Amino acid sequence: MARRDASPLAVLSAAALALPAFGASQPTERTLAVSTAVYQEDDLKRSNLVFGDVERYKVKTNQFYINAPIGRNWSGSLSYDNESMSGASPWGTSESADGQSDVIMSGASIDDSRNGLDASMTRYFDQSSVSVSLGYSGEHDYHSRSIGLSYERDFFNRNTTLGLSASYSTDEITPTDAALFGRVLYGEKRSRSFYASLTQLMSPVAVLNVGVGLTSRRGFLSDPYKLRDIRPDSRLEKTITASYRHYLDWKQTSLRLDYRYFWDSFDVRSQTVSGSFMQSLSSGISWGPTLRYYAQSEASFYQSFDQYALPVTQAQSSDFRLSSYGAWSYGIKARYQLGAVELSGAIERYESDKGLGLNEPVAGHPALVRFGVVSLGLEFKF
Amino acid sequence: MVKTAAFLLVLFAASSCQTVEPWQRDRLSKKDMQLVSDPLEARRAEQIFFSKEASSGGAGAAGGGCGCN
Repeated sequence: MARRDASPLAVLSAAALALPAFGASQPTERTLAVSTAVYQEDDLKRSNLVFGDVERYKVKTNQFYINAPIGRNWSGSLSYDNESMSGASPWGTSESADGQSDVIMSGASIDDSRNGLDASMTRYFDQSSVSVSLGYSGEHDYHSRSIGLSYERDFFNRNTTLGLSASYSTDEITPTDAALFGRVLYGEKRSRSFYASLTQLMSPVAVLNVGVGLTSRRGFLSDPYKLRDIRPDSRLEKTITASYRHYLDWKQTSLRLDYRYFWDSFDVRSQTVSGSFMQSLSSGISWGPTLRYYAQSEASFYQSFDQYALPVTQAQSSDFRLSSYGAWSYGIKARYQLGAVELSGAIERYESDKGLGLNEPVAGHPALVRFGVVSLGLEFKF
Repeated sequence: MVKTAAFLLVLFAASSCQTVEPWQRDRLSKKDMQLVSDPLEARRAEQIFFSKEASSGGAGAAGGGCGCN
């Protein structure tokens, strides 16, 4: 009598189970990727400028990533980012003659860089995996260190995967020219974050993932470079997310949909919906558009313009990022597969608007950002 | 929030799941079917939105921050 586990079907099943599709499986090959991108914000309208420069941020980013199996039960990954930033950023706001907000900008002399490094090691068991990660992000005035732990467990013949993760980070800021501008000399922030998710294979061409997240931040949460920015010293953030992937056989196209609901103790609520598809063409080329919608409400302590009459013990900020607004971003990306090498490129445009916000706008913030991103990437599997 | 959670729960429970056998997963293992299909692009996008919007998170436990303006 033939042994069942020696059948071609069993061998094929064992090989298929090793596919890195959503389960807690060790990767089957090494991946090395590099990428470069340019991020450019539109200039501020000169009519909204009180002081400073209208030329806003430009960021050049270079990235490196490697992920590889190690032995029979381990894998490791390393990510490195380098960013070079230049341009001007909003310092504050003042009330214009017609009761609207005008912006006080820094000079365009800001010239900074950021280096980010993340490393992780994963141990794979029969139906589960455990990962430990370490992260560091450093600028000349800002240093962040983090540690994370995550666990994945497969159920029902790897049709369902439970994911649990937790992280802890400490951030330190020592603002430049603190004495000159009366900024705080030193600030520290500690963050704790928890996340749980469930991934379910729906069919041979569809998968659904839902997740909940909780992040607590304590310490110095204000922006020391703003002229008048006093925020609460704790913030509790919560998220609910859903992701859906569907493969359309007749078009050889992957459809991607993501949703996030966010709310926090600053009274900020937001909805984020993004979608894209990638169609594979016979010539090794894949392409597809991307679309993202974002809308948020304003923080409970948001002010349309800086109010110096308010006591410094009262939370207040005129940061446009805490105002009520929304944004559309749209773009297109393409890839070319040549053997084990894949070239990719993408263009994206982001346009925010006060009319898309979740609150009735009292006065739109003139510093709401609009930007474009162009990126090129190369990935090698071996 | 409760309505959103209820909607997601109903979506999850009411979906017509079927057991997907290992040999049926070739399309699920394609790059663009992964939850994160491009780690570098995901890191870059997360960094941009973290620094320009009041919301963040939703893709795992949050890591460290940055002094982004």
